[in-house]
Amino acid sequence: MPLVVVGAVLAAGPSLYNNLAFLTTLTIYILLAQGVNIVYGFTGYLPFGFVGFFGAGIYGSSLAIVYWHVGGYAAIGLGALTSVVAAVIVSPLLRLSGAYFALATLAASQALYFIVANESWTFGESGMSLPLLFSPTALYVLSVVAVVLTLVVVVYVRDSHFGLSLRAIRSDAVSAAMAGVNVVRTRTIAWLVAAALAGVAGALWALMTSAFYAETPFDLTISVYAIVFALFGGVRTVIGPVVGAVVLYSLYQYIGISNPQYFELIYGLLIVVLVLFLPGGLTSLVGGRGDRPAWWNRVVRRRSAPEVTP
Amino acid sequence: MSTLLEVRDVAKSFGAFVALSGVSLQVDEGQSLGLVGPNGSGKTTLINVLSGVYKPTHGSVALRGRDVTGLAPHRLCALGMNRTFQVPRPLAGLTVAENIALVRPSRHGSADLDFDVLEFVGLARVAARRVSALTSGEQKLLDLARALAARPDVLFVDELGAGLNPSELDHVADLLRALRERGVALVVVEHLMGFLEQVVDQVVVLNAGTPIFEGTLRQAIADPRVIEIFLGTHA
Repeated sequence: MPLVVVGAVLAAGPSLYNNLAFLTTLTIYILLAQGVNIVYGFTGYLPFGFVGFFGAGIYGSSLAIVYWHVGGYAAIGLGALTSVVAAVIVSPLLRLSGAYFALATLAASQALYFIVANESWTFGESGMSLPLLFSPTALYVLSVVAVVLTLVVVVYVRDSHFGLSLRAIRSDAVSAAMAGVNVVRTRTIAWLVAAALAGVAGALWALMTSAFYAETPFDLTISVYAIVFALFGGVRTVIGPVVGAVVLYSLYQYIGISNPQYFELIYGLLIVVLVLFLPGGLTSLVGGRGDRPAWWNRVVRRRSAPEVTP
Repeated sequence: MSTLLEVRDVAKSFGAFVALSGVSLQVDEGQSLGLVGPNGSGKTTLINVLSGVYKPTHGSVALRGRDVTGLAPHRLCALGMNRTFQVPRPLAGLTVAENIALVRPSRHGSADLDFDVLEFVGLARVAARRVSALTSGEQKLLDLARALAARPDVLFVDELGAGLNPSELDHVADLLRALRERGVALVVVEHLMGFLEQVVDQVVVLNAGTPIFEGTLRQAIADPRVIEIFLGTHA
């Protein structure tokens, strides 16, 4: 159901607001926010360097186009593959936890940035320049399809035994292991799926932008946005990261572009406020009683009936 | 009775600290073994080694003759070993029912555990609740139910009785006796001797990481070495 709604709204997007660059970027952020949702929401690992996978997808697809002259679809597939390979390389970081993991992924993404920005075969100095493989409309349609497919993946992650295992690991890895969950394998799969999403997002961005320097794909702001969008809407839900991306990125489009410096500040404050007062995100306000923050239950004066009467 | 679990000369060190050394013991199918000893004698460390949470520094563990030393917990779970935790560790973000749904049962299980585990421990009525809404006693029962859902042949029970009120304690003792009748081998760590007396056949007494006595509980409490480690020589 939410799948249909999101698909329909995004499909109707151009008639509501005729700015395809904005709408395509929005879908790219939805993909990134869903990637954060899977890694952070379900597994509990905050990937501060998530932008590294986005950059890997951008460069994987771009270099394939430049050197091998592959088509657009193959470029998207190769972008995703590049990110997955990058994720395999850094998967030992999953042994870390909390802030250590967040910082280590950040360092890894910046290491990748410095490689890409300084090598001549990645066009670090001259900048990347790609032929146009899709019309803006075709690319937008493609990115909406990518969003819908991503939502199918997230629904699976939410409802399957795999998703239950992820939530169990997030709660207590030792206890999950005693329940028979292969902790390392399960969280690595989640990590690779999230990286693949970021890779697809990166490839779409490369196809849309076609001329860029390495600074933009590896800009840490992209990580921050993806994390804030996912948290604001609500992680561990299907619709939350979509809502977060649509609301906050539209806001950014209206008032942020002229004053980007304030937006970084606003998003920073937003993270603090969210963590303190709305850990479940916007969607938790309308979700099950147990998910709503206590202060909200007080504000709306809905008396919480006991969940189960013994 | 054939041997189910065989522990040979297991040692575990943390840096320079030797938590276990020279631990050998054997659990037969369906046997119920108590593990006693003063605080810090290595009981929980031994359970952690046997359940795959720690890898032993030395020695071997075999289950039904198969070497399982150092296997990860999920592998041991699949092979029919499981445990409860001293401080219960049910999965807090999940409901009671989800805690059980998560578990993949062992395919080796020869014990008769084909029943609703929540029904068995008495938590069926709170199945839809989140773990955070349970009392600490209920969390212990859920920890036990989660372990049973894996259909273990051998179950390590780490101080299940600690912190329970007398009626809860009776309930838990009844459960463990019922499990023994169904053919589950138990290794029970417990300080409460009255409780232990109800559920185990034999005890192993650990002191400073090494077994110093093996026999019945009655023999143990009369043994001068055991009296010495619990009460001191001049008691």
